[in-house]
Amino acid sequence: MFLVVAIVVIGIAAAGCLGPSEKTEKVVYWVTIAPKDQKVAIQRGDVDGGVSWEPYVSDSLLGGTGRVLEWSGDVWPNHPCCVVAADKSFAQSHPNLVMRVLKAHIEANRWIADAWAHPGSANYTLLLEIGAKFSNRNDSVVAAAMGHMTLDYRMNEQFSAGLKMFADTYITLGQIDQSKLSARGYSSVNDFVANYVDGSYLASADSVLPSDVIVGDVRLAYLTGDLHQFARVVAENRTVGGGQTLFEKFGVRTIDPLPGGYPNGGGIMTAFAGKAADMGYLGSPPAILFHLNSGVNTIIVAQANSEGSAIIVNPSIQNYEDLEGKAVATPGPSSIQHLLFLKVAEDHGFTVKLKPS
Amino acid sequence: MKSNAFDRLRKLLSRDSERGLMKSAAIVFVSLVVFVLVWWALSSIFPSEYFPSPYKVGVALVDSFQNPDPNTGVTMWQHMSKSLVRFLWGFALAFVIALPLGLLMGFSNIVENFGRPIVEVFRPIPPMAWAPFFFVIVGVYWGPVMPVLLGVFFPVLSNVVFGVKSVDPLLLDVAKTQGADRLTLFKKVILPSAIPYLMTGIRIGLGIGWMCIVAAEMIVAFGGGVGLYISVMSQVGKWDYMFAGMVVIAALGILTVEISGYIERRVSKWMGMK
Repeated sequence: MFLVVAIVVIGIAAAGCLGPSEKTEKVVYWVTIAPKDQKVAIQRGDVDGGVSWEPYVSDSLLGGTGRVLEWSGDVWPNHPCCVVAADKSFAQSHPNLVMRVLKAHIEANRWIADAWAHPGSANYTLLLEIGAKFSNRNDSVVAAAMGHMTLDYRMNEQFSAGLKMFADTYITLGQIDQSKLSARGYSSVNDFVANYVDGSYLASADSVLPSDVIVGDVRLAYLTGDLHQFARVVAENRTVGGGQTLFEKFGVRTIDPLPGGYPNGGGIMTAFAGKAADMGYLGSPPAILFHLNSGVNTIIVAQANSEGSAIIVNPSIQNYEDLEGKAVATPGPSSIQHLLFLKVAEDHGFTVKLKPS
Repeated sequence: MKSNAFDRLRKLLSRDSERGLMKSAAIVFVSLVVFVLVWWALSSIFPSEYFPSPYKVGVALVDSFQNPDPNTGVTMWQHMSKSLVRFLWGFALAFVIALPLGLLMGFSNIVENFGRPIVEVFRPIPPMAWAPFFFVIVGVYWGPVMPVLLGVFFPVLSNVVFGVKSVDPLLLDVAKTQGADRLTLFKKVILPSAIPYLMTGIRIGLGIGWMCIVAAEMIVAFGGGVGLYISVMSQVGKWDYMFAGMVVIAALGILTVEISGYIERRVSKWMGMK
């Protein structure tokens, strides 16, 4: 018995050491490291680069620990990134609450745009303060991050085209089985996006008026420290709303399903699956992956931001050719940053492999 | 010699022994069947997307070994090998530190009084709470190993200390009256007495160690790991594959406990305990 067990253990341990020759391939490696930890991983030399969202890109840039090899907006101009999603049954049973949340989202976006357009104003200072407190970074990092992303609630044709591109890519990569489309009742990727993106709530939201009373509670999930979701942070600020949050101003009391936020979009989609969240701010890729792979009954009701991610590398790396044989960290296969990495690797003729050790 | 072996074999195959083995095997079989049936029943009650049936998980398990998963690009074999290597490192380091420290703490009141407050401060802290810290301090290779080290360390340490303190005073007195010095006392009486407790600590530590490796690999795992696999599958909503990863962890846990059981039997036999 022991001999069998010992052979199995040794065999398993040896399996990782054996593999095909990589001599003729141009390989770039990847490993999953959370954006908040990528800066230190690059500094330590554990990896040579990372793909991250804001404020972590700007944090590395201003800290001098990395340089941007390429911005996501240069690869996919105006690509969608984070979105506002809602539990579909909640949206159908409480359309009024969804519209009120979206009204606060719209107002927060407008407030941010106005504050950002007036440097030196009190609201500009407040904007940076709110961002710095939420992301645990300083004002300079927040200001730099603001310049690298576009906060926008609107969903246009380009937004839908971006989501189609993500879904197509996931199907091509095998991360979503083609059969899942029909299993969820969609005839094609186009049909999926047309139904998964529901703009009706956003269209009606602008006419929502402030409310003197709280109409209802909404369990609103979000990602930890992610400035792509700045509108939610601003909408929760009582100074911006004149003594109440913007959500309260429009009649909604938000409840935090996980105080401090979720570490990734997968966590938020799992919260939707477990009926622990009614609405949430998360990346569009996990919203697509979970809906198609596991049938989590959600819809996308607004955009949170476009662009705002980048491949950041050790300052010694000057171009993509220098990445040969090097390792790049991504937040994980369900992230838009991972897709970006796969895209640029393919464009530059790299074979992507998991970093061996 | 031949006769002894024959006698042992005959004893092993004696009717009582055979009946006992058959009974045990039957109970294990029934237990597994009940487990699978309950799983099947629950998967039909809960949404099957999130609670896949044993069949779905089985299909995913086979696929994970046969084909590289599209997310990480490697097969379950590589994930298992990486996890196993990390686990063995963590276990070995914990063992090397905890055994002598536990013997010393059990043997010497001064060392115990010095070490216990520190141990008691750190013991209640879940090893996973340290994972981000270890990642930053010791890097991506040793980062996932360290929570395993902690997970194994405290059960081994506590059991060894307890084992040393549980030595029958009569044995100590007899050894002393026979003129045994402190070193002989330690080598001939205390150390052997602590072995069964050490083995208990190892068995407990093995279980905790696997819990730690999975969680640690969710933070970083060069080359893959079953923890990473489970994490990735949960992030992309492939629950049947996530369950397949959990089955693999269970199998690896059983594998390592079997090994420790074998070692325990050999050591006990060597020491004349059985």
